[in-house]
Amino acid sequence: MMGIRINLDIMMAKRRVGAGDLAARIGITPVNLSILKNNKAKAIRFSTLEALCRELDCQPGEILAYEEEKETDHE
Amino acid sequence: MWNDQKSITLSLVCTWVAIAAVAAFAVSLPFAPRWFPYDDSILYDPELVARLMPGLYGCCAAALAALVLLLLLLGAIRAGEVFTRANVRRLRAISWCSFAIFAILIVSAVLVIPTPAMIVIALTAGFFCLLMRVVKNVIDAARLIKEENDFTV
Repeated sequence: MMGIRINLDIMMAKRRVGAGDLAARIGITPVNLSILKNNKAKAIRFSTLEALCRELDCQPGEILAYEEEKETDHE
Repeated sequence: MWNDQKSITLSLVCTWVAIAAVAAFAVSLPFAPRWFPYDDSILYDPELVARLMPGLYGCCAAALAALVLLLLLLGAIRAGEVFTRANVRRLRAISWCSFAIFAILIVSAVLVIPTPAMIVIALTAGFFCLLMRVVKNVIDAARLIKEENDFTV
């Protein structure tokens, strides 16, 4: 299903950062951070990605991962 | 001062007036043939009138359904829910109601009263159906853009 997977929860756990704290630090709402964390987002702005990388001290590749889309059966 | 809310209220009032008009037309339909601006000899033919009635009642039912859907649509717009799947479904249903009126009237025009006026009214309903379909497509496209925008973080 998902082509791009966001591993934000893993990075947040590694850096021991809470969702509310991270949302405040990167300047987005907790609801939007939750959308991002739960892979519900359809797009991510470069400015958000940049802020995430800055606050989590990581590279975009550590947050984003490409996953092969699963084939769906059409019987 | 004129504003969006007053405009929606005006649309709601117009829709209620239209519902009342269609309901009144449906109730008075058995007594209405004398009102038609056609040649009396056609509409005073009881057999012809009897053949026309089911079609006209079908049109009334479709028109009432479309008007109720319009009320729901206006209610949703007043609540700030514009580009939603529910509204797209309502517009699609209104379009189908218009198509039903077009189909009923075109069949009536061909089989019962083959007059240019009937064909023009039927084509007007068909044109309205087409307009509603295009509006539905526009709202659906806007919904997709809004959804993408809402889920862009």
